[in-house]
Amino acid sequence: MLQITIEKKFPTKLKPFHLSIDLKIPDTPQTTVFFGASGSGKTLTLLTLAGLTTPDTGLIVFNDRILYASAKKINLAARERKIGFMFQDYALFPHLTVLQNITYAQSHFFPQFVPKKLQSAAQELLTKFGLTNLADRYPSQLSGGQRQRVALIRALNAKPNLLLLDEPFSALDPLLRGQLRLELQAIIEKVALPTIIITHDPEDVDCFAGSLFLFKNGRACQVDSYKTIRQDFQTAQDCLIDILRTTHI
Amino acid sequence: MLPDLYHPLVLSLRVAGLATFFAFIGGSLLALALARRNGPLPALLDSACTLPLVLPPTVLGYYLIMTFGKNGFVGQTLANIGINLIFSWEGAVVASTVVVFPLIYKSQRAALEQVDQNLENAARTLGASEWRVFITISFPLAWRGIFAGLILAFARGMGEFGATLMIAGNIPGKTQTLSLAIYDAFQAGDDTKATILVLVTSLLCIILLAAAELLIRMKEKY
Repeated sequence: MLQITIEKKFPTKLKPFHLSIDLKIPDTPQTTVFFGASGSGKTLTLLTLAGLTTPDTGLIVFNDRILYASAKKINLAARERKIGFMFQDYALFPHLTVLQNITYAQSHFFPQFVPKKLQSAAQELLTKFGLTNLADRYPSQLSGGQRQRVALIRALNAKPNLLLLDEPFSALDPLLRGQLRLELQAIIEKVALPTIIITHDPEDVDCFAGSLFLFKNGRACQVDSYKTIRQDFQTAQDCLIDILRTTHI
Repeated sequence: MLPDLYHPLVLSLRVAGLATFFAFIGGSLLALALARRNGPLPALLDSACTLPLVLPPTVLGYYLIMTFGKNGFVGQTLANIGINLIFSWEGAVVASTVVVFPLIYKSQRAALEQVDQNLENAARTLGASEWRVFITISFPLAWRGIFAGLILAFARGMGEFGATLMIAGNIPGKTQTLSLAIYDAFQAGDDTKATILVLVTSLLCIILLAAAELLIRMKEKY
């Protein structure tokens, strides 16, 4: 169970923004989708969850572990939260090889020195993900799909308890998305980690929405029975347009 | 002739090298502390640190004497432990450090701020401490800019004149750097010596700048 109650104000003159989120995400289903337009606060909420942005006030509790509590002055650093984060552009370290990237969380200090013990395990993982001969390549030499897989392996190697994926397909060729969506779904099921996926692509919602949360102008609410509502519509897009129209957050 | 050239040259290299080193330590810490910070205090500190770049050397030298001189706040403390910076080559190092500090701090801060924040954040979510993030991610991605700043600072340190003259004086064989020796030779009408010193200084500065340029253009393997 994940509880997020956060408030954060950005009092800029040009475009003031007020993030006010109050969510409870149950343990099952395993995957949760945050759906909403860009600028609705999805990424900000994820960054806050991961400890990369600090809210003004609020409470974040994951499986009885307090990650953030303004009232108790608790604010765990990102490195202590055990939350895996896959960035929209994957954020692979450009100066490190694929092997050094995926072992970053496990290597001692300098990622360039990968202990022998880690090497064989990493090689095995790469083979499993269809990246067998790419261990010594640099991220700039990889295709979009390969980058995504490297980013995912790297996050999983840190042994997180929760996985956050920020628009996992937006950096990819649209023609590739369909296939990679199925791949990612299979991987997530296999690793059996609670996963939150941000998207503004209706197709992603169909594929991943165990539970679904709508984001709008810095607020969010849960859509209770997406799968049931979905049956009345031809496409995911029509369905979501209707939900957005009828839901008041 | 050779000793006349040798001592100022070695002193200049030593002063510029040490000044660059000290300014690098201080500049790094400050750049790290102030990078991506907006607010009145960081802005004020930033301006204060840039001040040596715009102040006339004489003003800077005056401040340094006020601080490190016999009656100065720091000077008295140092005198108690037997260190005297006025009219010593160490004083020249202090003057050069202050002069090159903004060059290093500014280039370092700019280089660090150019590093993609997502990369640093990714490292944090992978369990890296702030120290590890800096050493293994930020610095390797920013080192060119930082190094270019160091070379620029070193070259500037080589040419330091005004503030050094005021605090360290112009004592041949003791505090006379290249640029001071040139002034001396010119004043004394020793044109041959002045010409040689000028050519040596110019050559050194050209080599340094060419090295900086090469370094920036050098291709990375990724």
